[in-house]
Amino acid sequence: MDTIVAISTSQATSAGINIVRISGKDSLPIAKRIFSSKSFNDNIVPSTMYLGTIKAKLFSEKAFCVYFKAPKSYTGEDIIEIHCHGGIGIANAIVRLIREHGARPAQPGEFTKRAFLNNKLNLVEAEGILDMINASTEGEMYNAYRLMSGEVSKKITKIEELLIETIAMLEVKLDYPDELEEETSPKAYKNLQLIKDDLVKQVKASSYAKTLKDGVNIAIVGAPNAGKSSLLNALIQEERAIVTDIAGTTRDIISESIQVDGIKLNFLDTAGIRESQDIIEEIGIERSQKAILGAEIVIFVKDASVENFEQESKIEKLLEGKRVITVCNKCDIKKVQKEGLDISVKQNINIQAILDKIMKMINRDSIFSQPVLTNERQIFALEECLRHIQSALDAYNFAPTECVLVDLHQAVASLAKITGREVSESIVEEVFSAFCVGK
Amino acid sequence: MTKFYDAMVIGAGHAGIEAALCLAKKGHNTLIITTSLHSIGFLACNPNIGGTAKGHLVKEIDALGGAMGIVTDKATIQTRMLNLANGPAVHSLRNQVDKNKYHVLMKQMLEKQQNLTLFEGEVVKLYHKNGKINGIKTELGEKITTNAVVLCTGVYLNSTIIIGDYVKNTGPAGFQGANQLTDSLIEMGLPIRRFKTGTPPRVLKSSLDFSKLEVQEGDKDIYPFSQDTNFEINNDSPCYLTYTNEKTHKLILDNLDRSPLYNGKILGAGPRYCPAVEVKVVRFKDKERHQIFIEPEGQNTEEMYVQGLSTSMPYDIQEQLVHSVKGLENAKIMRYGYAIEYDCLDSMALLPTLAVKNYKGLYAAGQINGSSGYEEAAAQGLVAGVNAALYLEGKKEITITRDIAYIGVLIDDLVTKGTQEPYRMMTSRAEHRLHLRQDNADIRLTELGHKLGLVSDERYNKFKEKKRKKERLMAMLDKNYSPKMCQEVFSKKNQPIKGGISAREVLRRNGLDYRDLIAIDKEFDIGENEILKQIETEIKYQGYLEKQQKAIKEMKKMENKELNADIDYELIPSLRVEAREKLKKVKPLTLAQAARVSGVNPADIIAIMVYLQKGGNK
Repeated sequence: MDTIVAISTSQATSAGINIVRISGKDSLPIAKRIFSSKSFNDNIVPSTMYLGTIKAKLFSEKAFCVYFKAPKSYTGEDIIEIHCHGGIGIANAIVRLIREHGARPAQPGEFTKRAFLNNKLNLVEAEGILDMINASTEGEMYNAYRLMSGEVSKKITKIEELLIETIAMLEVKLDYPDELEEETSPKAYKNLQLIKDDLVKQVKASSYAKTLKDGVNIAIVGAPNAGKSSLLNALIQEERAIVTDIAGTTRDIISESIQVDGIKLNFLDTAGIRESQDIIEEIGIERSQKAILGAEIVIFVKDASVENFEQESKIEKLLEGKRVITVCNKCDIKKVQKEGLDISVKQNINIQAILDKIMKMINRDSIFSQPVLTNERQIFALEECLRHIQSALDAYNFAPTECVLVDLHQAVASLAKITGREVSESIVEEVFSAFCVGK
Repeated sequence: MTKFYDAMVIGAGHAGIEAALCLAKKGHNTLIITTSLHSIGFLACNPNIGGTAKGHLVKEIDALGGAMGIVTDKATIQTRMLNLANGPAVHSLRNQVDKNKYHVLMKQMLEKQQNLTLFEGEVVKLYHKNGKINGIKTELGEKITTNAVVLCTGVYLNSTIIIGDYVKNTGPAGFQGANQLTDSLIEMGLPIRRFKTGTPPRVLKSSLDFSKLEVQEGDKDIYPFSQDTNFEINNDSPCYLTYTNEKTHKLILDNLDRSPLYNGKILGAGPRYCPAVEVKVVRFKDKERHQIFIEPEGQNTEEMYVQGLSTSMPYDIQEQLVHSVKGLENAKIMRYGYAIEYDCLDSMALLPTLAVKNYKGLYAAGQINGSSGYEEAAAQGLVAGVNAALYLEGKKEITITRDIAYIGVLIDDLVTKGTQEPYRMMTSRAEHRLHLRQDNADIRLTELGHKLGLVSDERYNKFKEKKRKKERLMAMLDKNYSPKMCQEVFSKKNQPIKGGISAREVLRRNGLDYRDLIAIDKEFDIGENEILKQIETEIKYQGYLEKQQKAIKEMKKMENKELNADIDYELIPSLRVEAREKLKKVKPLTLAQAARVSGVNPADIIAIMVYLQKGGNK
């Protein structure tokens, strides 16, 4: 069975500690790749807690890791549990990281299901778990799908129907090789490209919309004393509409949220910690890294009053691939010419301009005009579908049809996770309604 | 004194034959009863066996020790392997057979089988006591007691033949139907439905204009269906191809009001995959022509089957229809095409063992279960026969799962999803298609067949020897060859060489095959090339096989979680109402089957798991 991952602590409340659980044969290899600790690499003792660091490209985070060796684990498979601080944001980032290493998100109750299949489920657990499953399946995908806006479901259904049509075009050749006179393969290939384009669009828009729903994270970074926290205060002052502290922020990152035109903006700041002159530069960098993690937009605050180019260029390096708004604070006492929007927090110069830039970047109108999926598992199903379609397209011109169809059947199965359609019968139906076969 | 048999098989078509042979081979004194001994193994429709997915079924039946494969090989008059343009998973053997020879050989096989008695008669009633089948009554009033019955009634229950306005209560091709048994089944509370199928006209060979027909010869390479076939397979009878045309289509459209399918005379559900020509013309208006295959009904007859012209139009229209087709202008019709309606069971009334729910000792196989096709019938007959035998022996009955055979896909679809029309096997229905191949049918099923006592020790030993040979070849796959050693082969095939290459890599490469490996290394030539070819197939498919296998694994675990058919789903509180109703109807035997029932979602499955955990499966 493949390897699955999920946050196994309740996400409803803002717990201080979250547990990310991985189950399946790749659990340990994945853990070894992302978790580093002196003693964790060679002779790992099962059921023992290790302290170490989760390392990703954009962040590193102290965490505990426990390895439960099959079959002595909850599911009866190899399990890794990562206990992390820092709230749901960090836990989500770790789940994403694990997914990048090949695990897929678990369905509701899937850990329990595996426990059962491997004869590991005991009665006490079973009793309690059922309630939980029932609760979490209330919002199950099919229901979510039914509740979805008509436009979105229409779009997904359209993709699904085109895919079924395309599968039928290829299947009919296999099941009626001596009867089908028309050549269906080139048309099928074109259809797959259309499907792929549609999926890419949907996935992109949906992933973005998902982040929007939770708020756009905006990191404020810069060298010590550049005026980050006062900028944060100014931005919040500007709107005078502090929404809330985001749940589970780490002690060294502060987050404040405001609402602008119906969109929640979460400002992440490394302020809140007293910055003394002698603070070592490394810590400043590390903290910035954390703030940048998971931020969609970064405000890079430069200090126009000092020549700290070296420090600033170090931070700049961390911003690669991010959408950045560069501002030069303290323009009222400017001593050095630097690239960026001149602002002065103190004199309230150009603060509104920053917000305008942010809103422009978010491109509010295009987001709200696009019907999208926002449920995480639905988006994952779309991404999964897209991967299968891509793999079918890659193999299309040299693999035999029955192999290409393996990918396509998996692609349509991914969509069926959203729509709940009985795929197999739909394909047979399509074969006979689109083609005159059978004697 | 009343006669007694351990088991009785009602009907001697393709399902009945396999069921009866299984029971008798397993040592049970068995009676096979049919309304006419002339109808044993009768091929009522097309004169061919096999084809896509169906060829797979025949191979599987043969691997399980069934009769269809060997008899087909003996009665073959033309053979073709379909789908050679695609990979081995969809290669499908299809043979034209001599219908009469097929019937004669099957009848002989039954007659010679120990423990088996052939008997002509019509069963009109089943007897049962305390839910257990214990006997039957024939039309003559004769009562025969028995402990198990397999229903293989085909299209004969209350069958009605329709040709235009002509409607007659009779079986196909002049054989009489069975008009009383349905009432007995209804009395027993079994759900009965009415299905429809049809057949085209037959024409006289010498009246055809062959100069206007395209000839279709058999393949050069000949492959057997049966592992036991050690004789030369006949392949000398061509088929012919022609087409319908505008005239044909106009004739049909002008006379639609006289077609029973369009004037309301036929109400039964007809198969989509076997449409009458009038349906094809109406539904696909844009198509300028439809293919018509002319196939011999046998070698000692002039009768030719007109594949593609299935119809129930009145006789005068049929005349014009046939004559409108190129090459058939002066064809003499020997039999008219007809539609036939018949009673069958709702297949959801069956367990995956093909036992009828709520009764002990009652099984059903073939068209009575809502399937269509000789091969589908035979496959079910075998499973029903085996399980009837296991029932008599007090042993656990078997279920063939979807991941090991098309037989499993067929039966699971029928009993778990049900069907609204006669069910035809298609390769697209098999989610494990790459694994379920003709070439490995023996690997998939011989072990099981032997364990069940259907496969002889001799064949089993041969199979084990083949496995050993395969293992030996597999052990050699890491052998390495220098560029020099493969230069000749590679340059002939325009393949690039970079450094050394392993045997496995030679087989994996697109454009190279097992013959190239043999050319490089004679050690791989062990005289049985199919084994090396199979290894090549598995290597070439590897990536995709693994993709499919991933899915099998979880399903397999769920297949291993058995459910008792008598579970009271009312006692599982967390099931949703829809799921509960469906599960009560289907009565799945495994968790995997439960998961496949439409309307049952993952949360319902977990609810069942929890219930099982509490010990609710007793």
